[in-house]
Amino acid sequence: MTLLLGCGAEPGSGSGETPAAQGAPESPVQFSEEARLRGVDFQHEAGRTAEKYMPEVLGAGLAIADFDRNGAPDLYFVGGGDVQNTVSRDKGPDRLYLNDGAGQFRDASKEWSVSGAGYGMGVAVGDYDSDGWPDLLTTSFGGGVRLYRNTGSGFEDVTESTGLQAERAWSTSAGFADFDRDGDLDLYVVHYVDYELQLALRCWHNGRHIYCSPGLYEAEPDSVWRNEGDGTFVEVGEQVGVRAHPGKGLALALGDVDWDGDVDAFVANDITRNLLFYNDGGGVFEERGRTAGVAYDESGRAAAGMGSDFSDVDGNGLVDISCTNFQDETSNLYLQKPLGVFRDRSYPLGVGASAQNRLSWGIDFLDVDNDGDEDLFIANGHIDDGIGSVSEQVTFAQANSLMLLEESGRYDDISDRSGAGLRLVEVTRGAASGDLDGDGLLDIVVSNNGGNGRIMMNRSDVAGSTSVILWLEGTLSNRSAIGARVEAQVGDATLLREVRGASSYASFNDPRIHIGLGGEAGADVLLLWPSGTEQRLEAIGPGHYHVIEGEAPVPITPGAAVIPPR
Amino acid sequence: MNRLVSLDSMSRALVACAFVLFGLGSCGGEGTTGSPPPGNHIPFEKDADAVRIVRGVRESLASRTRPSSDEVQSFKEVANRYADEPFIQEAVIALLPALEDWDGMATFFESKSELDDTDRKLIARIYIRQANYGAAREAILPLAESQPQDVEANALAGRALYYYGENEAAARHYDRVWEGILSERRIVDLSFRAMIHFDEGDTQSARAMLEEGLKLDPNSIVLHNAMGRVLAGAGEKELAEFHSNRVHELQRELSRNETSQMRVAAQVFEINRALQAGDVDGCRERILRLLPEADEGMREQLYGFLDALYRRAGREAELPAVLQQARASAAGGAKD
Repeated sequence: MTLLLGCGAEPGSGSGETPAAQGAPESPVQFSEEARLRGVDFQHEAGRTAEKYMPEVLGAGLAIADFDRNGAPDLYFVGGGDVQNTVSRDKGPDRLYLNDGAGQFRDASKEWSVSGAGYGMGVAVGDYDSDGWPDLLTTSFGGGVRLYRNTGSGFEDVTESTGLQAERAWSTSAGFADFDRDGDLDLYVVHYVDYELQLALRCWHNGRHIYCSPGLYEAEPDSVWRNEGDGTFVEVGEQVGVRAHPGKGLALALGDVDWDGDVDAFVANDITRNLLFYNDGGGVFEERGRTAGVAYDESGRAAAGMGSDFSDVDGNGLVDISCTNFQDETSNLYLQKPLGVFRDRSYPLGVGASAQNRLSWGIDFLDVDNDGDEDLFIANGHIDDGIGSVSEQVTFAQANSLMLLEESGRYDDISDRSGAGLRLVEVTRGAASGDLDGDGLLDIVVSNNGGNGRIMMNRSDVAGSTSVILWLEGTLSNRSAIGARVEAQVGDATLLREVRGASSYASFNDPRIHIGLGGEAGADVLLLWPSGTEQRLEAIGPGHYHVIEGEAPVPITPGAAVIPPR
Repeated sequence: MNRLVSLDSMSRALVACAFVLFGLGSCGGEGTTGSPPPGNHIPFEKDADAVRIVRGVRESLASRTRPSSDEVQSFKEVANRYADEPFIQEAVIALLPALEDWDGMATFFESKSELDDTDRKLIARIYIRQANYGAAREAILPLAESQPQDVEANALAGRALYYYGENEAAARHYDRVWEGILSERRIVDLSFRAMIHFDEGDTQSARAMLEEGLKLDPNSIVLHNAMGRVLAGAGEKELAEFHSNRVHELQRELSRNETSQMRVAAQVFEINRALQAGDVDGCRERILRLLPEADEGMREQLYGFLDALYRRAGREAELPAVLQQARASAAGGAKD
């Protein structure tokens, strides 16, 4: 008989690696960590203090987006900083890395005037001024949000001129979408709690100084900024029905939950109920989280929501919602059936057990093996650096989770069979995915709290399973095509995809649509643009394409050339 | 009430018992040592090292300090050697949940040479706690099948199967002991059985069951939450909203209480720190801040604390004014 515990890392250790699974064969799905090899040396500055201020534990997000329009997604990491000095970002600056198309990056932070403001939290990407260059917005504690206009060769801080300097609350996640369907991108900003360092409480548990619970502070309602189309934004949270629902928000997923052609919003709140805002088509929201069944977990408890994403998990043509939570709460997988009614099926689908001992943040549904269904990546890491002293099973640094969606409809946790990239034991927060090296496979990038940025390159042996990757660009619709929906017929399966303005935790995924073809030669794709335009792409084969609204797709080679906006 | 509570309550109850057992005294029976397992010829009480290790752990628990990793490891080795000793089992139950070492718990009980029904139920509960529903199912099904009238065994089987996604089998076990589920007010199991009906499209039965449950516990968040979902699925929007709003109200109440307790705990610690630093004025300020949030019992304690504090500092003359200020501060909180 043995009584050894099954945890990989030493309790309380900062980082490490879990051993490979004993006896179980390696999965064909493999990820290797290659950040340094590929020129990415980002280091997040958590700025932890003896006072244990709440912002220190939240870490930061990252964005994957093609800022220089060379057809290859670039990386933007939000730094942390010094929570006691949010006036300037001397420590932990943000960083921008441009991609050459083959997945080699160069640090372009200085050249593009990237620095960061406040104590950094999250990032959102969208072409707010419709000039074809994706712009960038960062959130923070103590520094408000900052909007950076992309000039094509650098970022220009336009926070003041756009009116966003009035956005001062502690913001975490944010996302752009054309809520009112007028052709330009509006903005949703998630707020956490009303917190001031001078009034911060100290908290103890059994004589141990710990980070305080958000329960001690008042929730901050979120804000919605309407794009006036003249380069300015106006806060309309009250008018559109959002400010009436304060929550302690950490994560935002934007997408068409009822598939009716407009962008809805799910807000994952920390120990307050989650919010599900249905858009009436004109940008006015009705909050229906409680009756839809996503406000609480199955026991009726408000969990510690920290990340979210959408996917049609069970292939029934309805969008499902995921939400990551604290350890012991597991991650929720709310399946929609019938329309408008959700049930948390995380345990029967195999996600619950895997997430039980983990404190989870970023989450991405992504098809890692190009078989057409969306698998699941979850970023993990505790907030309490002393948790190892009170628990034998829960550690501060934790391995991230990768779960393959099997034909049975259940998820199989293959984290310890998927290569060294997935065996890293760190304190991860933000996560995003995209095809960084143009090989048709989705790679994963994460940000660690007080640690390195990691690039996990997808090295899977998918034996002939290829993919179609579509870079969509609106003309009648918003230029970023955020909110564009895709129904792809691949063999017998209909796959739903969407260009989403926000998901995961404080992060932004590569907005290009990825369709795994499995063994099929191609896909028939129906594009449903936010403008209402429907466009069919017949028998489109594997490869990368640039699709301008209403025009035939143009094959591209990532990184081959800058494609200037028209 | 959630699915973790039963095990936690049991653990707490056994902690006190285990302290006695560690000392080789008695607790609800004789301090039996049982028979040594095969190949283990020294009885526990004659194994000086083992007794010392177990006592060390006991002392750590009694003083509310966490045993060191080495102590825990040594304890586990002792437990390994004397796995079939009843008092070792009690000790394991006392220690490992406190360390949140559920894997260790499961491993220990599974490695006993003989499992009785109580062990099997405990193992199932541990696996359910760990969300390892496949293992929970394996652990409890033989017992539930052989004892179809055993409410706990069949309720555990139902729960493990429900979580595992085997609704039909879960329903069979729940239905066998339905009367027991009602009489024992197993609200979570009741709601699971109702949701199985809902998943099968039988909204009417789901609703009837939840109504029955709400008669037993009108303030059950679990039941109101489930009812809200069932009614939303049935298209009864208004009624669904009523139950969803009830969940919201009950949650708010719960959260208000928790928040208040957290704030009080944080402030009490600060008061102690100020006291230790000899900072009488700092102490007073913190107490004044805490009073509006404190309940009546806590307020009386805080007044007493102020009294003692000022007397000890030789500042009795200031006391009447300070206490008057404190009572005014408390009244401003409009608590109770």
